[in-house]
Amino acid sequence: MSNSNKKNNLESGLNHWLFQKVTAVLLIPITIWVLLKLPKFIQLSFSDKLSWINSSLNLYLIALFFIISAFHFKLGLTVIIEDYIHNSIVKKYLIVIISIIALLIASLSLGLCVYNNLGG
Amino acid sequence: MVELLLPKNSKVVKGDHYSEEGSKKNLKTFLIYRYDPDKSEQPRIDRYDVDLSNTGPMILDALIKIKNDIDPSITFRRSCREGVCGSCSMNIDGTNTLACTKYVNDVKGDVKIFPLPHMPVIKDLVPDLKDIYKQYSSIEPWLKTSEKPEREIKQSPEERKELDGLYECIMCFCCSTSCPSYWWNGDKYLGPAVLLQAWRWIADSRDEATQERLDSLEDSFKLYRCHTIMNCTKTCPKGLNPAKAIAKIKKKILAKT
Repeated sequence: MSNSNKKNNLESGLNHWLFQKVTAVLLIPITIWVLLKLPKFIQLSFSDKLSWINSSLNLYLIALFFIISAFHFKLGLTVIIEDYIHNSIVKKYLIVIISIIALLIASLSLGLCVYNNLGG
Repeated sequence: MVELLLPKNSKVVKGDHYSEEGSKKNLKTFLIYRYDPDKSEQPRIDRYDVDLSNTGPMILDALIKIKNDIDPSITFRRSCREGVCGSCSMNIDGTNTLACTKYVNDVKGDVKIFPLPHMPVIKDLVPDLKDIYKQYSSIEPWLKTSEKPEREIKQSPEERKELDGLYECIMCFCCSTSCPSYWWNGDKYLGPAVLLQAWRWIADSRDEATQERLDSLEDSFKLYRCHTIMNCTKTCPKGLNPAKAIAKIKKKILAKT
């Protein structure tokens, strides 16, 4: 039986479980907001879309949506990989790949906010 | 890696057909999994047409009749025949349960009987439980106190009530072997039966090793492979709720951190 995975980091069972629940709860209101806005957003012209996104509140909420989703996606997919992939090398690489994807999504969202704040 | 090809002995072939001589009035057909790993034969499903006129009402009564009167080679565990020993747990009509508390009449059509799922088979309906017993002993299922008391340690009625729904577990492992998470990671995940027992000692007001017990369970595989699928609670022949016990362990770990 495994006695690895020491506490106080993301590998800890408790933290993983807790972050997954917290991100899930945070995603509920923000996803409802995205779904409410989406039908109108799709119908806008390209320039209107850009100016809608560039309004501070919209930009921050969308960025938050992508950052939390990326984290939630990483946590959820890690569990699925750990459940079904039993080859330790394949498992390790797959988790690294999805972590990089999640990090890219989160940092791009964050970067966009900073860029916008600097008046870009 | 995901195994795309199943092992050879996972293919179950059609077996023999036994029909009881005599009265044909109260016949019920039993389809029973037969496998002997010591022989090179594939597992097979034997078919038994049993006259239920002179047997008891339970699946176990029918199994005993088959063993006594039709085919003495059929192998299964049984002991108390009243749902307190947990020996005769098996998969009946697609659900893990105790053969001694399941009525034959509750099964519509043919009665399909298999051993507990996803466990190594010793013979026929007898699964190998040695690994699950090792996991059970790993949670140290005994009362831990710092001092040896002179007399019994008293509990208030409220403290005693905390153990209701836990002490009744008979360790038949119907729950653990119904859990997909336990099927895929049974070597590392402790499974609902063992975790319910772990909670039984954490919840015990007389036990002094609560923190130590919680620390040993705080592991992404031992405890957190429970994805609240709830098969454990649905299948428990004693009507217990292992999923709730697991949730309580998770909450307790959170509160103690």
